[in-house]
Amino acid sequence: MRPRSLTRRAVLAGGAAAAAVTACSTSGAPRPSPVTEQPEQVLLRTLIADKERTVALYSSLVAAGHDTLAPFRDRHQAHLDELRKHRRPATSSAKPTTPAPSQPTPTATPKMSLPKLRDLERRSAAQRTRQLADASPALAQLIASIGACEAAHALALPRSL
Amino acid sequence: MRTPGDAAVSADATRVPGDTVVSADAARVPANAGDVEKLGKALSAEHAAVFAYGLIGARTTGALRARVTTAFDAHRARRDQLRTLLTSRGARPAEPAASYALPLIPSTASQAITLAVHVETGVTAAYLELAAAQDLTLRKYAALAMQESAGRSYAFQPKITTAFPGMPGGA
Repeated sequence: MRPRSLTRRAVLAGGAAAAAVTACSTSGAPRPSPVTEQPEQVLLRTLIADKERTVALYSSLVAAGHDTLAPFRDRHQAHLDELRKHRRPATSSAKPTTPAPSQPTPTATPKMSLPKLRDLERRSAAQRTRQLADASPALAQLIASIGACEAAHALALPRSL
Repeated sequence: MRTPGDAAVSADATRVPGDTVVSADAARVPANAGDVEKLGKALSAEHAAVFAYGLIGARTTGALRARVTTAFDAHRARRDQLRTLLTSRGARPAEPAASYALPLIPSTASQAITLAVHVETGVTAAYLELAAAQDLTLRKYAALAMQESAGRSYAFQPKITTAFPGMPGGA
């Protein structure tokens, strides 16, 4: 069980790193749009990459023995699963969103304090209200619901680990 | 039985035609019939919430009462904002019903909390519908209101029962 979850974490963390690089290279400049991707699919990619990072973070904390965080990780995982259902299968010309890395990155085991975690949840919730424009009505509802869950998370995180 | 969440469905006063023009309003927003209907449902949920919190407030004391009063004020503010959002779209906001059926009349603090959580759950569900509006400002408004009600619900009862607040069956 452990090695398996480690592998998955590694994959997710690597994906997150790749997403971060992508985000940096495109911020501030108009998207080059190599393929004509639906705005909603672009949005979904961002949302999914973001959630993958959060799930990976919580998973690493749970693996480190912080069992109280498992329900939080599970709810984020549920968000991720629902978001993926909205993802249209990539067309042949579309690039794979997260190329699987061969090695885990050092960011896989971050130093995370509870205030930082709370801040992450709060910022995620705030971000959701700005991610509703390109979404279909159904996806907008999902995003709004996820944001509400994250807002509750920010309050619900334990005082100490 | 009517709950705050579905009060809009049964309250006949909410059947406001989307094309009802009140007057030449300076701040008119192009009305979308679907959006107006969703706003109407959210307003009905807030009417029910204001009613319920009025009752809860009268039956609680001390620190809990202070929290209930804060929640009451928050819902009243949302109610007034929704009224404005409806009028600016040329629709006539529904008046509250004379009373709303509640799952229980609280006589203890724990029952008061149960009812408050019930109210917040219903409100969250109503705003989930509004989150599907065509108008982006309404989506944002709904998403923020959902975060507020989910947070308030947790503050009343520190328990998270679903990963998807507002959604039927929690998924």
